[in-house]
Amino acid sequence: MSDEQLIRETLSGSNKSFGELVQKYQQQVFRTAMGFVHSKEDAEDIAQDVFIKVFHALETFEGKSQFPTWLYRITVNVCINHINKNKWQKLLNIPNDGFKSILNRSDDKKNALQQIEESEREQAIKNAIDLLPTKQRTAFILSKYEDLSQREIAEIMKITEGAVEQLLQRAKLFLRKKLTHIIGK
Amino acid sequence: MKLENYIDDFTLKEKQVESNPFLSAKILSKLDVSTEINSVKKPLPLWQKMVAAASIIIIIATGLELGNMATSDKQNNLININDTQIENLSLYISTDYEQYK
Repeated sequence: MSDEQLIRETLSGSNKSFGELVQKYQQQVFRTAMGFVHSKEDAEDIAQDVFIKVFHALETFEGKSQFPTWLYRITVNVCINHINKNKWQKLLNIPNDGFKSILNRSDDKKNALQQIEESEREQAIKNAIDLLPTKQRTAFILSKYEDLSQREIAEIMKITEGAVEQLLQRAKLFLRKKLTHIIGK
Repeated sequence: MKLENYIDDFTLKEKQVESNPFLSAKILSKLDVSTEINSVKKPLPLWQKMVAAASIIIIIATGLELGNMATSDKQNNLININDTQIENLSLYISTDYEQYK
């Protein structure tokens, strides 16, 4: 069934149709949320909030843009609100769980030192992405995690394709600046 | 570029994380609960609102009436006390008092 049909049936009162819509787009929403929060549990919470918001706002969807575009916009807004709400909480938490992640892995190919290096590298990349300014971070995540084209990102963020290109370039330079002395070129 | 490869590897790892397969069921059950709560919250009919308003007015009016009744029941009784009989000071101020001592 097409998105329009599922939306029409949902608005007529069919929760089953909304369930199908959720199943169709849940991985998309979850993946985008993962890009923002880097945690499976938080990403699932965000995905729930997104779809509940979508359900209640479905009658305001005018169909001027594609449903996935509208869904991406809501997802990005919910993710940014979540990050802003938990900003202070995050400052108090010590994010480095490098040793825990090593213990949980059973990778015989890599020795402990390599695993520590990999874990620290991942943590550094995570922190650098989190430090990106909001618009650059949004463009970066939609590009890297969702493999969207610049045109699609421009439609979601309601900016020009040129602006998207600039944001991606700046994000790339920012990450290079933050990570070069840790990871190297 | 090595750095870009590391970033790509990292994003690929996160992209491959699968969401909970029961996520849609969780969302639908949450929606069922929220629609139940919304259906219980119905607005009161007009006659109930009027009865409530009238009750409040009656209670206030009754209170005012009771207050007025309480103030009107006060009686102003005057008690005349002739304290000249209680203590006869003339006994003490009379010059003949010395005689009685």
